[in-house]
Amino acid sequence: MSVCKGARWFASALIAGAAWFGAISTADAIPVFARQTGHNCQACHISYPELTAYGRDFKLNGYTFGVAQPIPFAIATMQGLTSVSKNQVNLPGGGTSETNSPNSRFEVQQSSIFSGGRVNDNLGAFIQWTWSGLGGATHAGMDNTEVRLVGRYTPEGDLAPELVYGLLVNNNMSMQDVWMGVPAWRFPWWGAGVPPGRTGPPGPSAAAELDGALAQRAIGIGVYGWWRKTIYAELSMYRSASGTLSFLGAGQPKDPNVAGDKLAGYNPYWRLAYSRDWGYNSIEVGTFGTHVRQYYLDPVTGLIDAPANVYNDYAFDAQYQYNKGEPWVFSATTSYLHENATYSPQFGASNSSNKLNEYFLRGTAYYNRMYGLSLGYVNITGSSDSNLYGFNSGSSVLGSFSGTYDPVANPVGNGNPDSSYWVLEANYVPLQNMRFTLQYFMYNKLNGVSGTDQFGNKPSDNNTFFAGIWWAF
Amino acid sequence: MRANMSKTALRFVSTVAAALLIPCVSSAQGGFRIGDAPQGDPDAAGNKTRSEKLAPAQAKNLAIVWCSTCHGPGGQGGGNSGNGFNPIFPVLAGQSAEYLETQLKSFRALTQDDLAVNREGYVERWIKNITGIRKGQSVDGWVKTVFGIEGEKYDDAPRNEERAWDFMKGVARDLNDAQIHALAQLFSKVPAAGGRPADGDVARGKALFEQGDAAKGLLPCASCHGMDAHGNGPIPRLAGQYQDYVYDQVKFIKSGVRSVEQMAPLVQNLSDDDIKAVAAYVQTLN
Repeated sequence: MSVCKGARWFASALIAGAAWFGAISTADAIPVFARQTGHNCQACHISYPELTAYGRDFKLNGYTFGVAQPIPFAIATMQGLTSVSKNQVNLPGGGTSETNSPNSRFEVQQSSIFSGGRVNDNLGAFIQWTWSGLGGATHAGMDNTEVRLVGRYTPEGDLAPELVYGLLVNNNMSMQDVWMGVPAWRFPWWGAGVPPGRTGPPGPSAAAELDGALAQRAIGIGVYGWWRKTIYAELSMYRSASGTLSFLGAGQPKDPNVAGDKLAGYNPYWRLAYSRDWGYNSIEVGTFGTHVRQYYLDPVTGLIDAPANVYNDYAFDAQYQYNKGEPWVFSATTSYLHENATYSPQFGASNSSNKLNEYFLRGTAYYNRMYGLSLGYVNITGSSDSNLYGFNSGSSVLGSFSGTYDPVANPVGNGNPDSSYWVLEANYVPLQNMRFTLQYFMYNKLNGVSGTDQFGNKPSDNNTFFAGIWWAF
Repeated sequence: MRANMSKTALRFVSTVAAALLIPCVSSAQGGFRIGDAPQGDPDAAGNKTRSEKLAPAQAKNLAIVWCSTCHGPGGQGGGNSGNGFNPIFPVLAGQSAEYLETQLKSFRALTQDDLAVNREGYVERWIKNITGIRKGQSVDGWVKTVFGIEGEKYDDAPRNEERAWDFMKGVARDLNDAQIHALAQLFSKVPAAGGRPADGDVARGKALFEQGDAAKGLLPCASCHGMDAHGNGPIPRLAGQYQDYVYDQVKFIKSGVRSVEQMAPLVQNLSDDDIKAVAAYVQTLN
């Protein structure tokens, strides 16, 4: 057995072994951890999944506090009703559409089994296996999953660790982070499903490589240190999940259209953050980024055609929390992500390189930990690229169009990726493991269109209302 | 070339992983493992049980790894860490050992229902989780009717007091008597952090603390807690404690949420301002 193969087996065994039963959802913490520690959810969460100062320590200590449970299982399920402001649009040139069709749909969005938690003082895991029913296209597979091996350095005579350090393996770049400004944990944490007649939830077409492109498709291994609850530093390397690691790829076959499946070798992700707690307050400022090389994989021949696309992403983030518990809890997070991308000629972008910026802001207030209100704002700007964003020419889009016109699947714009929108969310948490949510997405600008496009569509036609129930047990 | 680099990287990673794995397997005995059942009886010569022998090392590990997360190094709060801690979590350093032991056992007692359910089986435990029964909620309603299970009834607890249970119930749940004793000993022997400046009417707090207020029928706090507020035996040390924490606790004792028989009648005539003043004063004490 080659070293290479052996190491892959080791990583698989690490995850499979620690995960002997699996357990939790993107947005949610885990009753597995609640049972293990005996804490209530609020010990670690402002609201799921936002971590408190103590929750951050729990995670960075590798989920090891407490007593391992004989049956480390939990289940989370989410159901919701999604409704868009204007679903079916009139076709240009007098064509008809199903203007009377419903624009709302109820969905059992996803159910997850979570597992993991403490194995011993130094080993713990967070494992999520998810069944998704979104858009009627059901599939099941490994969701966010992470294993941590931790150590602690305590100088002789001290009664607190000077340094908590660890090794982590996971399948979603930035899910390991404990602040909420990284793409894996940005608000909103759950929401709209797929409205009828669409192929996906409404939303911007452009996203940075670090923003979800590699989720559940690449596997990363990293080392980190947490010094005096003040400085956090991490370096991880991500590669495509293949071979014995492919079970981490959300149970999906390798897909030449998926960025995470065609990474070139190992790609670094780094993180540096400063944190300080005083009184009921907690602040963090930090920076993170990645350098990803991604091959062009011919969809027909499956051949790799070098050179690779290169994505350089760097970001800054900041967070503030006021957590007295009762009656009010406040938190706010902001982050700014900048991407420089250069493309292989075969990739087919109009430009040889592009820039993309994602600005994110979110504020949350909870009253008595039962009534919550959150407001989020996202602003995406970037280089116009008619090929890459694919919606430069209305006629070419419509040439291939048949059936109901979908402005999201086939957006009509000017090749400009600029989008901006607000998300308003109200939560009612009657039991600590149950949450009722009302959420509204308001689009000011979508895929370069801020007014009315040539077909009479406005960004606000995509405004989406969502009502959902999240329940974990 | 790439293949070589990848092999090298993988070899490095496996080596690091193995190096970390070996100590974690071997540390299973000496780690901060909790929940050991009492093992063995004292022999005729009064030698220690196995639990008692293990407890001091386990307590020290627990204090470092878990307790320090909220209470600071050695329970000194933000004192020595260069990082301020949340005053929801009291200072433990220098606290009376007897008081600490009583408190940990009280927290643990709150979990006995859970443990009983645990022993009966996971099904009941799951039902509790499914129904989301938790402190502060009456379960006389549909849950009891449908499942025949009683939840924990802390109906009158204001939610801030509940926060102590959010955390401490779980921590104390799996500690044995020897470990509780060892933890109490450990924290009581850590030098207390010094007094800190406080917001509020410290002078009035000092007068109330040392002399009481005859007109209002208030006894001086110092008569039990000591002029230096260092406490004694079952009576807790207050000197250097977070003023917010002291304020909350006196309020809870006054309202009966926190049951302290000896003290409840003595604080009934304390106004909110009185409590604030006393809490501010004790925070300034060394």
